Amino acid sequence: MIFRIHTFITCLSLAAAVLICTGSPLPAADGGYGASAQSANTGTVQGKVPFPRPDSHRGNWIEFHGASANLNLNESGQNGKSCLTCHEKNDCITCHNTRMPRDHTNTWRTLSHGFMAEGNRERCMTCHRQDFCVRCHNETPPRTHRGNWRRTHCTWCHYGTGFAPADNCVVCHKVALHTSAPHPVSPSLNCPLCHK
Amino acid sequence: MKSSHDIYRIVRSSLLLNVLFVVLLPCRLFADSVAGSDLTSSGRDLSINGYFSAKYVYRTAETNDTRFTDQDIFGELRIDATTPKDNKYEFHFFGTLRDDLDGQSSGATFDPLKDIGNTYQSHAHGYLYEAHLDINNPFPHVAQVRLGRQSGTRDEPVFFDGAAADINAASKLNLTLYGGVAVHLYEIGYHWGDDALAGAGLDYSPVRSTKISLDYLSVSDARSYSPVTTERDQMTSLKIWQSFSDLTKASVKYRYLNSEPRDLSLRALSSFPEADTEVNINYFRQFRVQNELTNELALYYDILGQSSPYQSYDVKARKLFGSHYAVDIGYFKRALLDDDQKSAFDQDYNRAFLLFELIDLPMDGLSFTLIAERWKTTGRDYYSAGLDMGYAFKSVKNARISAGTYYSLYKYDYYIEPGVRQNVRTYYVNGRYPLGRSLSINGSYEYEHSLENYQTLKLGMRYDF
Repeated sequence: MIFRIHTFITCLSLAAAVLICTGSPLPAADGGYGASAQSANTGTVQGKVPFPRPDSHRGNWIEFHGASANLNLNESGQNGKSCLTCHEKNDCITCHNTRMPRDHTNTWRTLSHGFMAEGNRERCMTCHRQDFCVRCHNETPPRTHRGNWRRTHCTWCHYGTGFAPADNCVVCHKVALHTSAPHPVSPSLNCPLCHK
Repeated sequence: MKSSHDIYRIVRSSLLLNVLFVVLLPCRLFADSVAGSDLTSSGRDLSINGYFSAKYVYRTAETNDTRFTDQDIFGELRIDATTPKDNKYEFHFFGTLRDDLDGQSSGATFDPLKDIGNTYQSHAHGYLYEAHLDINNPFPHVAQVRLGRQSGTRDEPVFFDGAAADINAASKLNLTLYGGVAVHLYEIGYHWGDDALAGAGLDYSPVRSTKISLDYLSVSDARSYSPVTTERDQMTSLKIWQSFSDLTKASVKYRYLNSEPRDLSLRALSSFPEADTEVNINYFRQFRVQNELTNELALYYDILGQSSPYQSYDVKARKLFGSHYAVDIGYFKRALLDDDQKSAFDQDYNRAFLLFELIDLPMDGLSFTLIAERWKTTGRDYYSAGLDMGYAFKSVKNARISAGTYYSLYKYDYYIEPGVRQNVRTYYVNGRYPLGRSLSINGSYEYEHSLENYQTLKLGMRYDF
């Protein structure tokens, strides 16, 4: 692992050294290097108006920008150019495919994103299509699936929270064959009759 | 002692990085050479902008008895090339690359660090979002022709490999035509060429304050997983924009899907500069049950099941108090039109948030943000509160450091055991510092105290050209 980190840092340092040698000094604070560079902060593009950012972009602007963009860009992005004064239209694609919202933490990934999916699929649609969900759920077992899960999952699915297996299991398991069950299992069986 | 496989992977990762830098450096040198001269070999002015970034991510997760680690590297490259002298040609490229330095995690059991990057056969995977050549004004009345991989041609979020054309049909009438092979970046068993889409859009501006768009989109999606079938959808939409003043705008959009009404959305946005206030209001109504659809239009039926008719309201307001204080508030509510159609993944739902921001207090460049949120749906609640402190260096442009903490409380009436509460505390620090005219480095560390204790370290660089 140390060797890998070392490899990365070496490459990074080498590239930085080369770029600094071929580049120019640090930007000044008074407006910097003009319009020739793209701002890492705003995505502002060369030839566009770089600074200052509008007052509307302060604070929790990320929460508001979608509604504003929707009303300032028409379908072909050619009219109502207030966003395009500083941004390219493909800034949308860049950001929505690479920058995760603040709440997309590790716990979000492993546990709580289903919470959002219960009631606000439209929010997911902002960035994700169905194939994203299917790929991950097809390949990544949830946190319950470890240890002696294979032997204990019967009760978890069918009795743990009041005999409501389908809502959770069928997210990934479209067909539950139950080939290892001690007897054939079907929805018509009255399981609690024997399994107290 | 490293195995030959480990050595191979180390060498491969190093090569990957070198390839990225090999891409970066010529871009830098070429951009510089172009910036300093008027002509290129093609005889046209050429402007090349974009950025390249690389990021190393090291994560750990700890449970009572096990410690997991994961190392990944991410790269992004964006190129926007234009010919500003005659504005005849443009080229836009955006792609990303990721490599799992540790190798694949187990597919059979839960791994707290496993994510979408671990679902491929290979350790490295790339995504190409855009790579299209644009030709401006190639023919009379044709404003632009785009060839290649493109996205977002109209309002629907689609990716495709093909062609698009913007046509000035009349002085106030624009027509867009597009079509090609549909691209599904994450589809299992995806075969290029199996899926297709085509569409047309008409934009009409009868007066300066009013715009009307009529759209048609047809998608064919060959499914490679159960049920194996080909889905076909046709969507037609009508959208009207209206500006009531420079600061008050509204839109209404109505969509038909497969000859049935699908949804209605209303949006309004207004600013009141004299009061330093901005308000936006949204309303959405889904008319019919949505079942299996093409990947472009599906509401996650394969995972979540059907989406029943519902309506939602969304109100947000923000107000600045002078130059140092700002408050944002918002409320979102979703309500099913028929309570009998509730299911585990189709619920009534609401969210409220309040944010308070201190700007340049108590000193220039220093800001504090406090945010509180409440999410509520049947059987589950989620409360969160966060504090972020940021400092922007005045002496060095674009230098910034932020630190903060976030607390979330998830309450489950069902899930594993009834009445479960899950506390998540997150602490983070991140920063960015410019090393040169266009080069910056960035880094962050995050500790997440949850069911597993996560630590995430990110070290990266970004070069803008």
